[in-house]
Amino acid sequence: MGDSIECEHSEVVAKKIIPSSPQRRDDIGVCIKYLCTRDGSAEVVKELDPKVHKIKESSNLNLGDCIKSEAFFVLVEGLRPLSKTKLGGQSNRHSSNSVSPRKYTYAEISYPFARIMHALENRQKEIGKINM
Amino acid sequence: MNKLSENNPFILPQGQEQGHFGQSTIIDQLTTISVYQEKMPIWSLQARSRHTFNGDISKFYTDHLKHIIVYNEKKEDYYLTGIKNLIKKNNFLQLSLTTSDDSESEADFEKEISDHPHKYIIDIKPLDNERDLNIISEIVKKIGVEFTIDDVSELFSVDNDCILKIANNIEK
Repeated sequence: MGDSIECEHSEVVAKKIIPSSPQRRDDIGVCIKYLCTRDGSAEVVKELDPKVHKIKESSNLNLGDCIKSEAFFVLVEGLRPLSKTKLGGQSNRHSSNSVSPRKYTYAEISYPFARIMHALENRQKEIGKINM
Repeated sequence: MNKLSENNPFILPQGQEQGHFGQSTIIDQLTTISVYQEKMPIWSLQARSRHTFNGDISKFYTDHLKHIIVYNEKKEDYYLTGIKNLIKKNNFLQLSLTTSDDSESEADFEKEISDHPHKYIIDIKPLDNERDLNIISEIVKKIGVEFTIDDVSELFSVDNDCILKIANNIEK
């Protein structure tokens, strides 16, 4: 299973859902990026038609497919802001937020960039050893 | 202008570095290399080299200098992209804070971004080479903040998936 979903209609739940930036991408056009943190999940509520990934080959595309993570990001096609709904809990501390974009949605688990930096540094060391 | 400068208007070597040196030749001389941009000298350096060298010394130096210059120009581009994207993010967050939940405000919000895309929208472009990822990694290291891959994608306008693909190829 991949660490991303792509769908036509999704259900996103997290304690914090924060708009991050509007983006223009070659694959999906204009979209808004949201950052979702703490107890989050994003689920496919309606599949893509045709059921073909637009951003990542390994994305989960089936109805009910879901990613769960402490930190992930969501791209929602278009520029209209999403309306959040509060779920459960008496205070902000215990409640979660939910958004249900009825537009193309891409959600992917966030990973630290340190992993990439280590891979590049190891590569540089290897090149250095070969050239010695 | 000599032949080399005609082929490579960016870097014009002068003096000794024009010679061709055969295998096992020891070079021990002061070499001056001047770097020109649009036919104007921007800087020059002198180096005393003592190497066993096989090949055309002018190409050796000019290629090396060209690599340094292109690398630094790219790095400057990424610094500028990063600053511009932070300004766009700031503009967007200010706009988000002033937008309420009613549909009229949402339409205004959408219109404002559509009418002024240069002020808000971050262009995400594919990334296809390891050199650029190295430059970005170098900048991120200097900033000293623990970024996620998607933070870096957003900051430097490069596609998240392309970063992962390059990293996966390196790790193979």
